[in-house]
Amino acid sequence: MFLKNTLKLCFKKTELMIGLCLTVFAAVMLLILPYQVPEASGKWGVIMAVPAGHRFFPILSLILVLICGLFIMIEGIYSKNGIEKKEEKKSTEDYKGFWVTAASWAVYAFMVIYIGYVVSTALLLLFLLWYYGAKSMVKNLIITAGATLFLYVIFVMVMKLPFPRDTILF
Amino acid sequence: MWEYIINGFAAAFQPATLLAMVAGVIAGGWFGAMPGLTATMAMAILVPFTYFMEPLIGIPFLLGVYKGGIWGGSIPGILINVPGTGAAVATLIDGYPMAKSGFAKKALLAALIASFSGELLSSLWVMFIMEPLSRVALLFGAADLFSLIFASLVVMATVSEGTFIKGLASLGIGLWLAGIGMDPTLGVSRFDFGFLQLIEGFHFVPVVIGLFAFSEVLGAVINRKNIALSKSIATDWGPGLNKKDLIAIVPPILKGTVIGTIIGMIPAVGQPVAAFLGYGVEKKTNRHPEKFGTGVIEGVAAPEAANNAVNGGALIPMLTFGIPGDVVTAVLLGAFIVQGLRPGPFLMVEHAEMMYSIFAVKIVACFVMLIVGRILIEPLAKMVLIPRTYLLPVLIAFCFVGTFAIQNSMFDVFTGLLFGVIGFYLKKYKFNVGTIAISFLLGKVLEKYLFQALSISHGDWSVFITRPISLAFLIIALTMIITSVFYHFKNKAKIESGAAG
Repeated sequence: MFLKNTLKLCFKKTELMIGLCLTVFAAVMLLILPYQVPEASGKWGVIMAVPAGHRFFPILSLILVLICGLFIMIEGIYSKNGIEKKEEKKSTEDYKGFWVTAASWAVYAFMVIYIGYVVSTALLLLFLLWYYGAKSMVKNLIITAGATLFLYVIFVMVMKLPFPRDTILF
Repeated sequence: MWEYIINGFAAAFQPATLLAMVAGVIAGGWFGAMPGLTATMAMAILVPFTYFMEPLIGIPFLLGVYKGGIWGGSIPGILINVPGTGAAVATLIDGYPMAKSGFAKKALLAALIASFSGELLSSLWVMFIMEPLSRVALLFGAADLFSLIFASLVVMATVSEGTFIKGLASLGIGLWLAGIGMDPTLGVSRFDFGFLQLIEGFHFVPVVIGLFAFSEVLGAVINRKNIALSKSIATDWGPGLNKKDLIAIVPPILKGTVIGTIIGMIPAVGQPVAAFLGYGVEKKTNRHPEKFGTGVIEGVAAPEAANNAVNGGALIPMLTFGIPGDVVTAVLLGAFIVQGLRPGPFLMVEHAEMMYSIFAVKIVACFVMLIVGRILIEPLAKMVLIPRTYLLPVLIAFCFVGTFAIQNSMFDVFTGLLFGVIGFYLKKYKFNVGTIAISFLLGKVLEKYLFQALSISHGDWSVFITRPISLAFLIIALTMIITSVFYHFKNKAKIESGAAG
């Protein structure tokens, strides 16, 4: 019940949510630290063991994040201004476009590996131009062709970057 | 020293070097002139490509991008009241009214000349001050360097945008990211989560491209329908600068240059602060302060000289101690390191000839910016209104290749994506990604100096307080934290009593 109410409150109070995320992140990293940062062993471990060993900095930085997260959480809980109104999302803001763009980047990466740089770039540009609202297909094709050629000349011909697959096709 | 300076200028006038500077100014100017694109983004996207170039081609190119980017931000600010970069916000206070009154050309030229002068004077200052400063830097031991870097990071964290607590959290996040991979002491791999690619930690470039370029692109994607750029860009350019104008802008340029150079030496303060301070000082000391805001040429010259002079000042801590004053300098630091130039106390000792070549390049690049900028003003003004719809996909393709080009690794590509998404949300919730990037860059160096200091003192922590230089910097760090806590609670109490009243 407490967890449910806390989560409900989090979604209403942004600062509380931010603080909670930071705190949880730091706490989890500190918990897994013994597995992710093994003890130094052998003679080098003994010889090199100084008060600030190889775990010192990660622990210090995570404790800093934890303390800051807790501070932000406490400020969020005790904020006297009451429940914050969630920032009104403008109707013109396109958060879906954010995720489509991020996903396009990932898909583009796989396409470059399996199809080749030039074709993948052309497809990416064409898709994004269309998605972002460029209506004229002719203009989109011209821009795609021009931009792909420019990128090919710069990265493949001038800089000779070795892409995973052949640059043009397969 | 004079021999190095003469040889440096000889190297700077090589055709390939000049061409690199021209290309850099054009690229940087374009990024700076596009609202929503920044000089930082330009540096982040273009720095990977300099890794394939010789130092005296790659570094001049980046210096050109840096100069062009800061100057270019004034163009949309003056023409359409939308600053191209944060550094240009002060410029539009008088620049836009000048453009609206039919003096767009005068304002743009004043901004260009002020940018050129501010940058040139601060670059000359840096060239002559570096050698004596480097000798002072050699007196710093490991404990002193640790405390200096630590204090710089704390200053950055506490004065950066957002609350100081989020600044400190950003510092912690950056230091943790720096800790990923092999530690500098025992070579033990930390937080690699089983990925072989993380044994050496995240590479700086994909992280920077993600945090500063791709996150901005993602933000621009979300807001692309909101950017209602006025179509009423000034088409009546009006007259250029006359003799009276050139005389009038000399005092604000000189004042702005001094302010900008000093501000540049202080970590985290950066161009926007220098620009506003330059504007404020000029307004206070001008014979007609009441005219500021209505379109006076001094109101354009002062902030532009200040924000460009920061470029020179910021090089001082970067080259002598390896501490970047802002994110753009941090990216430049990364480029220096990849070119085999490790900024720090020994840089002038080991690479004096190369350094004077770079200073000479910096000075020559000012003249390149003046000439190229004069030619580019009108074409860039026309490009200001290019719809984001067409720009964003091309930028995404650039970011992608930038992340891939460093190590020819798709892991870096996905790193760029991860930090792009994270960077967007961090900025949205007022965390300072600049502090994250700089603490990430300096984290391993900080740890190395800590280890060295403790090794030399045989594990005795008092070395940090028994050495006077180290103690002084630790006191600065502590003072910054205490004053930030004090002002945080004082402001909070004020707000809450205001809300209750």
